[in-house]
Amino acid sequence: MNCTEFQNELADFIDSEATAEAQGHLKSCTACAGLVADLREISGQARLLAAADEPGPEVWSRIEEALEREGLVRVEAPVPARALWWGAGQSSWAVPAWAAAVAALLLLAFGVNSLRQTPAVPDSTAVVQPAALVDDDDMKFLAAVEKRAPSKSGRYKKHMEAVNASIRDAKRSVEQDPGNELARERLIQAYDQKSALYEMAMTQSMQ
Amino acid sequence: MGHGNQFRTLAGLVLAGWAGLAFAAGKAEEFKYVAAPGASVSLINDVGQVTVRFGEGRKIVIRSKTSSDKVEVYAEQKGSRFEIRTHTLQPGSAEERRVEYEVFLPARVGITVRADSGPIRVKGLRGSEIILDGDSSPVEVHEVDAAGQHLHVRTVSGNITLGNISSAHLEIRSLGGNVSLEKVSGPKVQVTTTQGNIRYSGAFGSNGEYSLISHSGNIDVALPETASVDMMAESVEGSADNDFPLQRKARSSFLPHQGRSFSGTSHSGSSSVQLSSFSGKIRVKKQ
Repeated sequence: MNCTEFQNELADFIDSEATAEAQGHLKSCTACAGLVADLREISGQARLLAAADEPGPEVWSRIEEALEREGLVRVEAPVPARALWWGAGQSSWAVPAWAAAVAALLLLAFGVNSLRQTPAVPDSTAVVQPAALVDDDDMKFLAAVEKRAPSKSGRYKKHMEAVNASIRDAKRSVEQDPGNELARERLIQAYDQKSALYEMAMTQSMQ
Repeated sequence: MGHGNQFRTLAGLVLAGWAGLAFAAGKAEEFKYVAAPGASVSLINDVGQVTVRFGEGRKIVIRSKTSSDKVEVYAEQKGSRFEIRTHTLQPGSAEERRVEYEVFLPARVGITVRADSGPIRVKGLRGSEIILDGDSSPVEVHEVDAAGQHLHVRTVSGNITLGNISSAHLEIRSLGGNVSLEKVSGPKVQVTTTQGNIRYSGAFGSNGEYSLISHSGNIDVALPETASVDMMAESVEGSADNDFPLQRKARSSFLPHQGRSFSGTSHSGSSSVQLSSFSGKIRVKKQ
């Protein structure tokens, strides 16, 4: 089990026993273990809070540390204790304890959700976003066409994306079956199509 | 003068005025050059039909007609090369920039046409090297005996239609346009589209190499039972269906997969035919 899979199942066992597989991951991953510990503490604290109770400063510190550890927040310069709204009776901006706990849980839920999408540890099974279909060289070329023939650049960009997709697919075919003559010919022709598009775009935009 | 005569006079004046206006709006010109074999014509146009036909004798004749005074035709001879180009004098609408061309070409004189959005039509040429760049222009080429010369056609999105073409080294490319070939044969015929469909109808000649490739377009082939071909067809993520009698080759490194690829020969397998699409459908049937 990797971090992504573990965090996808996190909500299921935060207040109950983790599966054997999840327990195995917890033993080997300090990031996920720390996250689970913080979530369990907040969950436990929230149940114990009375209306007039306020979360202790150590709870907020742990939340802040967890969020900072995951890169979701940056620690600002320390704020004077008097300005902290959770300081004991010192500020007229004090918020009821239950609202503070809800806000904390929401923040952590957001953090957990972000973590589900971004694995903490690089992982060979993580989804890799496909490369942009128009690379930097293509963008420079299209910018040159845009200067000369602005009404045509959108169309050429669309065809550039299509031809780059065909090159990508043809490359994949050759990689999967290097001995396939038809696959190799498709790749050669895909590159020739791109070359032809460059040539036609430049020629037409210079007329 | 009676009312009838007055009416005729008035009508005549109106017609004369109308003709005068029409003449002032555009300009018709004719250029003539004597060309030896091996000479070539280059024609560049933005909007408007370009028609190229076979012309007897040794004279190249180019007729042009502009639609407004916002464009002009520039013609120049450089040795055995003749260049005709549309110049835009002032910005204008597509209709104002329209120039129609008619070219008569003797045998063995080459032609290059670059047109943005006017149709390009070529008919009856003999022994000419032909290069046609259409961008969004549709391109049609019919009844050409290339006598071993090259015929290159390229468009970005214009459709390409070829019919009755023989003995040509053909290279046909379109990014988004469809390509249709009927009775087209030659020592080498290469057709490539990225998104356009390819349709071929004919016998594939003899001793030729034919390659029809599309990334996402469909490829439809209809051939007579007498066609002598050595055929390979593959669609990686689409489908490949054959309804033409082919004999499996005894030794072949190409492995057919039901519904995705097939190969085989008909008669002596004189012409090599490769049909390849990444995600389109390939369909082969008997005419």
